[in-house]
Amino acid sequence: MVYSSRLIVAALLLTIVVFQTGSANTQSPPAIPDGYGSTLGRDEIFHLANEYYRNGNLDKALNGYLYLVELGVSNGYLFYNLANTYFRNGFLGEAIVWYERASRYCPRDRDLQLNFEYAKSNLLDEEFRAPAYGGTVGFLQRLHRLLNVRESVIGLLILTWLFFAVLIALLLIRSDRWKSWLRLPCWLLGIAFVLCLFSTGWKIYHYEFVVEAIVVESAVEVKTGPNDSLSTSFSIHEGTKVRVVQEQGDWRRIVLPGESSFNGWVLEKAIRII
Amino acid sequence: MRWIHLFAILLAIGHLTHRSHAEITLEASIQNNVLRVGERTHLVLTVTTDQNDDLTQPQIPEIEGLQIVYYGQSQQQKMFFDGRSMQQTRSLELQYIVTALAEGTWTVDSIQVPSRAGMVKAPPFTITVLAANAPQPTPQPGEVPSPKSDTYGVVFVLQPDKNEAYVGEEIHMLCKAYIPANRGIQPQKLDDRSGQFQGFWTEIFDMTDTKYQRQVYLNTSNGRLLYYEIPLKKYMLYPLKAGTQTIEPLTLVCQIPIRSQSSGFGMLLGRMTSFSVLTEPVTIKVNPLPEENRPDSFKGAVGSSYKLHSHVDSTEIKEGNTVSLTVTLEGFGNLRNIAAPILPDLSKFEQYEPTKKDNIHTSENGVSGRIEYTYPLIPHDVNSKEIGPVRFAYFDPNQKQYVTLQTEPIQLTILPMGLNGMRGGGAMGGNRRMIRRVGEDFRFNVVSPLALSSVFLPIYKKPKFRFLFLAPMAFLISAFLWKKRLDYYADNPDRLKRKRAPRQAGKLLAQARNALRQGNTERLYAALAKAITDYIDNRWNVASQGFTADELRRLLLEKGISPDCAHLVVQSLDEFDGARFSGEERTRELQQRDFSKAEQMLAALMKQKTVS
Repeated sequence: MVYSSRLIVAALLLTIVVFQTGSANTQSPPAIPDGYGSTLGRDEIFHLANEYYRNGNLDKALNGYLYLVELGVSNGYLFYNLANTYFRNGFLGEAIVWYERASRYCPRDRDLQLNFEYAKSNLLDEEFRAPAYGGTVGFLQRLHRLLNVRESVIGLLILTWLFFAVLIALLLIRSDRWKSWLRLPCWLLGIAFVLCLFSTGWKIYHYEFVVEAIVVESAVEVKTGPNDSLSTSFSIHEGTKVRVVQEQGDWRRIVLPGESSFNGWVLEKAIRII
Repeated sequence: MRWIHLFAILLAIGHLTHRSHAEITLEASIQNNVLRVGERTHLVLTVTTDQNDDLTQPQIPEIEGLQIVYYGQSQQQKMFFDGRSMQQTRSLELQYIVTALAEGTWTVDSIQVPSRAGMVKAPPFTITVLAANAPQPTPQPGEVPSPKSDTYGVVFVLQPDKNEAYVGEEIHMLCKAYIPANRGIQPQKLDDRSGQFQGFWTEIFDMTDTKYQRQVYLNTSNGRLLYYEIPLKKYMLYPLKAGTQTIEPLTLVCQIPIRSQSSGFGMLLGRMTSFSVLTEPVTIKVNPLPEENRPDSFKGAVGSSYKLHSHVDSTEIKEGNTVSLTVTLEGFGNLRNIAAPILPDLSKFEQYEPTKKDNIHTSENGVSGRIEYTYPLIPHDVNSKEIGPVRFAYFDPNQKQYVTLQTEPIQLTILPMGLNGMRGGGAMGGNRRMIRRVGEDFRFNVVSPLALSSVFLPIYKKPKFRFLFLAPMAFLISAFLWKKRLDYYADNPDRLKRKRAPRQAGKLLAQARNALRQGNTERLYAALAKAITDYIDNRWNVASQGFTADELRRLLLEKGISPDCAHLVVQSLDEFDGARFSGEERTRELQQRDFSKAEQMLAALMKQKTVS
């Protein structure tokens, strides 16, 4: 009993030490594309690429955006611009890939949603859409989709601190009056905490363990096995979203979302991981 | 009442009136439509409504060669959620016995039921009555293949309505199963998604409704047997290229109850087993479309009875305003794959991306519907007075020739722009035009460089997040343990005193050290004596003050303190009291020695065991 608090402090310190990790970036910088000076900063490159896009020079705009991506800029708006440029350039599959990536960063962006839907209206294959619910389930579903994984995690942290602070207060406070005041907030925060925990957990699971890809070739024959000589199971077209479930050499085993019976093997180059 | 309330009431009434229309449906299903005189069959009429009205029995007409007698009825109520609210439908199923009285072909076409919107009629159906001694109807020889030995008598066929067609011509391919009656066989799953229809654009019409099913007799090796003819799907196939195309076999998985051999309880303890039945491959010869007389405007459409219309939303517009040209194409054929009609020369107009709306449906009779293209046009000037004819060419496989449709030209009146240069009327709001999109709805790039900060999405991988997430839980556990500790000491105050004894003694020793440093003899010895007595009091619950030296020694010995230690305590306390109250001067060395002695004594006392 006497040493319990010391043990907890020691455990916390140990946790901090264990979680401390470091990594070193040893990649060489990418080559500067034509039309962009070597002295330009990231914002200037972005600005210049936008100018190229505005003037219809889509190839140069594309090179600029891709250069920023190679520099390691991870930003939903950059991905959105890149998707628009790919779409305008006639690369539907690549456009869908970047719209998907941008959606992970900016799930509430109206322009992004509109352009994404517009691009998807050009798909040849019917798109699988998760069922939309009404009522409370629908509300929770919309809430779940409202935040990206980062925002969900921050929300979860805030709720965790609030909920546990109220719990600790309930545990330590002796006044019955204060306890009765704290009970309702405790329940509400508890429910919000559990919902946020599930939502964030699901997002992290999806982000980490579900590998999705987009078909980037105009038409792809899905084989029954990882060999070109095997028979074709079905065909899919550019822009169709698939789920990658297995790898073997250059071949990837894919499944159509919502249609698990539709699965087969395609070459890695035919798809692009989101 | 304000006008807006009146408008709302009118809207509500209109809505209710609209709902009350055509909400009752009446369907008829005949079990067998070929009978011999004297034979009977079942007729089922189903009245369905989503209103709360009472369901009334349909009126049955009198047919000369048939006797239709009411047999019984059942009523069903279904509730379902349509995404917004709970809906309900009620259906009344009425059963009739139809007895064939006289030879002939009898059409029953006036079964009807009253509804709010008038009489609702059932689709007509025909019953053929043969002579009493006529043989049972059989399918045409060769129409249905004989069942194979390993399919429990089930026959599964693909029946095209033609074996030769043009590229793009609609072929109806009926897929149906013949299931032996009275064996409990159930079709389960039709596998038609394995690329059997390669080389065709396919539309599917589901025919699993019982109204398409009927009883037939098939000639089998076991004699003429009663079968259920169950149409499953009708495929509308449109060949994509010329040549001989083969449709590979489709698979139907069925289930049949197997009687348990050991149980002796027959079907009750039986189980179901699955088996598969395949169709025969079907070969279709696809002819290319003829080159002869092919019009320039032909873009590959094949079908029949196409109609083409065009109109504008207004023939009188102001210069610079938009006029919408709507072209409607309707007919039978593969409308989903059809190219837009050819527009006339519109060089005098600014032309934008068209919008396309379609209403295409697949039915038992094929694919039909309409497509509407809307072209936003802005006349360049007042001379843009005419929109020329729109043309559409298609190949009609029934007539085996190309047909070209052409709409009438449309005359426009372009009013010159006002003097103030404003489009669509003056500033006072008269003759305002509706704002509409003239191009595609595609949003521009994000241009603000402020938005270009790098965002790290998986922050849950950072150690900081893990710490921040786990810390509140650790705090909760700490708080819980702290609470338990407080509760424990609240219940055991002696333990708390014992626990605090060394700390309090240490504090008093510190006071004594200060007094020693300041040379305050009285405070030094008072603090030393208090440190020892308080420690003994806290630890062993012995109030040492007020006792004689012998009494104190006895008490300490009773509490388990060693005799040497007890003697030392009594002696020291005596010395400290003497030094404090005798008034004699003690040197600093003596004071230092007494302080060290008290320290050693306390250390010795702390090592003593506690006797409970």
